[in-house]
Amino acid sequence: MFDFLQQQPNVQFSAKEVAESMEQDRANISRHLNELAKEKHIEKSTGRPVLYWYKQEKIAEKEKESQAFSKIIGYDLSLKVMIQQAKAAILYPPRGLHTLILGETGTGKSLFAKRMYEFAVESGALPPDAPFISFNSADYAQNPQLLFGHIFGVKKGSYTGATEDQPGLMRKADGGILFLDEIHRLPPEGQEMLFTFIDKGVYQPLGESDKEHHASVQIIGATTESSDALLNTFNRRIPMTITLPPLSERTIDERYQLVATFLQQEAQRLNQEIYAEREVILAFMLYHPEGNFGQVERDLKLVCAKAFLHYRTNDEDHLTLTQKDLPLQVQKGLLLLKEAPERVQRLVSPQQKTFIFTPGADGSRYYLGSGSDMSVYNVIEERVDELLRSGVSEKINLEEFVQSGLSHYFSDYVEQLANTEVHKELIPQDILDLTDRLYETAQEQLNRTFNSSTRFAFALHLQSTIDRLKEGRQVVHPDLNSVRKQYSKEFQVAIALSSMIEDTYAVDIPLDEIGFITMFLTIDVKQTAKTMQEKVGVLAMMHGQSTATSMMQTVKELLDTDTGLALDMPLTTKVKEMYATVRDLIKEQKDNFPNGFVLLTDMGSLNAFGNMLMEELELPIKSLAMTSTPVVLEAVRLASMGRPLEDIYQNCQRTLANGIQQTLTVKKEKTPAIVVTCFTGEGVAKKLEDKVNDLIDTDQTAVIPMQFLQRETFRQHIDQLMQDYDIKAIIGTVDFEYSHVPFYSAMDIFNGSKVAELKQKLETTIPIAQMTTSLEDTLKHVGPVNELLVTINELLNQLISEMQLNIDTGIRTGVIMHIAFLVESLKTKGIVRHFPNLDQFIKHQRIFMDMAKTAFIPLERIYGITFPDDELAYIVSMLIENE
Amino acid sequence: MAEKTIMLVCAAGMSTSLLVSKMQKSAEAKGVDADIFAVSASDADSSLASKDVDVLLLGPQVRFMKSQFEKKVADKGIAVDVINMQDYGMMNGEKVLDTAISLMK
Repeated sequence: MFDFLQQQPNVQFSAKEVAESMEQDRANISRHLNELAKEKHIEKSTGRPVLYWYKQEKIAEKEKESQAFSKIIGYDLSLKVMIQQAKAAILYPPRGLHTLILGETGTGKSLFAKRMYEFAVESGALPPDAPFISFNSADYAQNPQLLFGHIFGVKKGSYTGATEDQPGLMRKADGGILFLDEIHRLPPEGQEMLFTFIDKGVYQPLGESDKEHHASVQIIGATTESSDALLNTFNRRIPMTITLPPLSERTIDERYQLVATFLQQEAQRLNQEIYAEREVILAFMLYHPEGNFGQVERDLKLVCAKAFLHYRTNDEDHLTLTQKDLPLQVQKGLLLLKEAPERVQRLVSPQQKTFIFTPGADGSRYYLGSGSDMSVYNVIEERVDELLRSGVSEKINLEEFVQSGLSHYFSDYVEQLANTEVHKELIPQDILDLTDRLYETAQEQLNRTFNSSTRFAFALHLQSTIDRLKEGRQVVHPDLNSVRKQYSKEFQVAIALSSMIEDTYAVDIPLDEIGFITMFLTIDVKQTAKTMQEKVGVLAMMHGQSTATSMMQTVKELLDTDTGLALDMPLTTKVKEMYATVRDLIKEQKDNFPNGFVLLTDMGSLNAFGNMLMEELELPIKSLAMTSTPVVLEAVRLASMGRPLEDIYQNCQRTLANGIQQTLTVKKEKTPAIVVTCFTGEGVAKKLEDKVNDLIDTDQTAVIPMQFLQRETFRQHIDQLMQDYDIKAIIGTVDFEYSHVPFYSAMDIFNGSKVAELKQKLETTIPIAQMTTSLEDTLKHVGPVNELLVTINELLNQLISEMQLNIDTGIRTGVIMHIAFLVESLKTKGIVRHFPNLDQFIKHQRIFMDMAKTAFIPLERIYGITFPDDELAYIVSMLIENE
Repeated sequence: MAEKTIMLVCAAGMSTSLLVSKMQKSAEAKGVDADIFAVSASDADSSLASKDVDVLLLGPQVRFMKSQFEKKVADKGIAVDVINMQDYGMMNGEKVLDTAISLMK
């Protein structure tokens, strides 16, 4: 009832009116109203009918904009009314009104209370030295007695241990404000005493029974509870109730201010510029956090911490926040962009791709309560410093270490180790022996068995550990403490194992290494049988009524396959609905495609789905934007061949790039190279380098040793190398698929089984001049043989790159010869040869046949011949079968 | 019947026929009694059936057929290999012949 009046300050109501609007008994209402009026919570008129109203202090309105409150985001928007209420509560004579702040978690209740106090001081309602005591009632909730004593004080002798009088918070807050957060957690006796104080201004400490203590304290309580029963209890006693709105009821401006203010403050604290992608700002403005402002701040903190880590480990000169660093829930905000108010575009200009927050800029008028905790940065800083001091070379991996949580990284590492086929001879016998002894001990102590692949992986790891230690290099284990806590038993065993290693090799094993050993003991290496058939799904999603389905249909017909899914997004579909549809489809198909999905999209929000889906469904997903028919064709073709996800992705990217660069003809002569690799980049890789150097002509081909610690990092390094080198093969300890580059295990090379194949890959093209010599006497009807061969060579290379095939030079030579003879025959007698099942072949390979036909038009013109379809089919089949 | 039968296979049997003639010359010079002939891939099966082939050599452009042929002739004791690309490009009959002979041993 009080609320009812309070919500319409200075409006007068009769008891009848109040009773009607609240649908309650008039007599009852009248009695309550009189009670409230008696207690001076509301005003009462003297005439008839008697009118009641809640008096809004005029002073508050006249008061010029308060400093304290204007620091709160939304003070002039969604919080306008609440701030007026708060001002009234503070200024209400003589000592303000006790106030209850309601609101969901994270709506800023504590901050609001603090601002009320500041306003009290500012407005002169409280002297500057007045206390503001803040207490969370949940802190002692398990011990009601202690809680009571903490608030109201303890009288000497009231319980064992209470050897003297202890003042409570009530005493400390005398003359000021006591803020009781989570007030609903107060035990019944505490509530009772609090109400006594509110009603009479007196209280009794624990154990006190005869004397009453006086205090002048304004109570501000806060609670997330919204159950009526509880609220009624409090409402009856606490005159002022302020409800802070949840985030969903705040304006888009306020949400923008929150993000901007937070980042500005963070830039200030770190004294570093922060660059935020436009999408980052948008996502944070639009997503639906369960924990309101508090959660937005926590999520912002997390993203800043990630960026900080990247900035520190990569020596960048500013922090960068990117969409892909956002937690999934935040990214989902982008799905709401279409439905977001137009105002968003004005707050976050579509022209501006990056928003920069500079320290020292006078941009932040608001002040956020939380988020001042710098510990996350300090932790990162410490770990990075430690690492830099020890001068380890594994620098680049720290970021992944810290970021993805170690266990993730680690299972990846072990799986790779276990799958290697390095010849056992590469591991010295003493290491193998020691490994066996260590595992015997471990199995005994942990009463667990370890399979041989774990042992083998550990042996490899141990070898590199010992090498590392002997050279005085260290690796940092970024999550040592949690490993120690979480796996204390294994950690103890790891210490025991370490001392065995120390005894054998006279080295000191640092704690970080023990941490790694611990993880070897905790991880169960799955028996991952390498499946030959990768099952990857291809899903095309495009705007328009039927664009995606019709494109997919075309491709399926061309390739005569059932592989490939498509989803249309008519322009009327909301992004969020589309996302749900896509997600459900992939979820449903998840079991059919355990190796992930390639998403082919055209534009807009669809492009952002990939990352979100990947996180939400925990399925590897790659997405490609700006998709066209050739890209879909390539993706479906490779997927139906059972190629792995990354491979499909890379090839589709090449298709895309080809489409764009076709006219640019960037032809840089690349040196052929072989990459040799292992975990350290020194051990096995070094041995491989020596071996390969013996096998090949090093004048022609470079051998590049590289470290392989983390798959993704390695991939990036190869990407870089690709710009300068034509990588012919990767040889290493860990199976690694990279686009069309063949992989050989170290064992393949050391035992000689694949040496011939490797050599074949390196065959250099025979100079056309030499081929000319050998054919000159035979080809008599084609004019200068040299010219013919040069033309064929050029056209063939073009065709092969268009078909995106990887054809050894040896085969190219063969095909050139074949075509040369073919031209000669066509020129003279003309040949009639039938390609078996030509119609079938043309139907299946329509694209390639088209390409070939087009590619050889210049030959037909120059020599006045026509290639029959049968011959084209032979050439095409030669090319594709050899790939 | 010649002492040794060498069969060359390529897509159309055109380019290999030149190589065949060079190999034959080389065989004559060396005094090797060999039946050397080229067929297209589609005719290979019938030739295998009708002739007692010792060595089957594939043109580099049909390297992909190697495993196919290896399976087909596994029980006949016929050696199968791909012609070295260098030798093929240069139409070096002598070297290809040497390879074929070494494969028979």
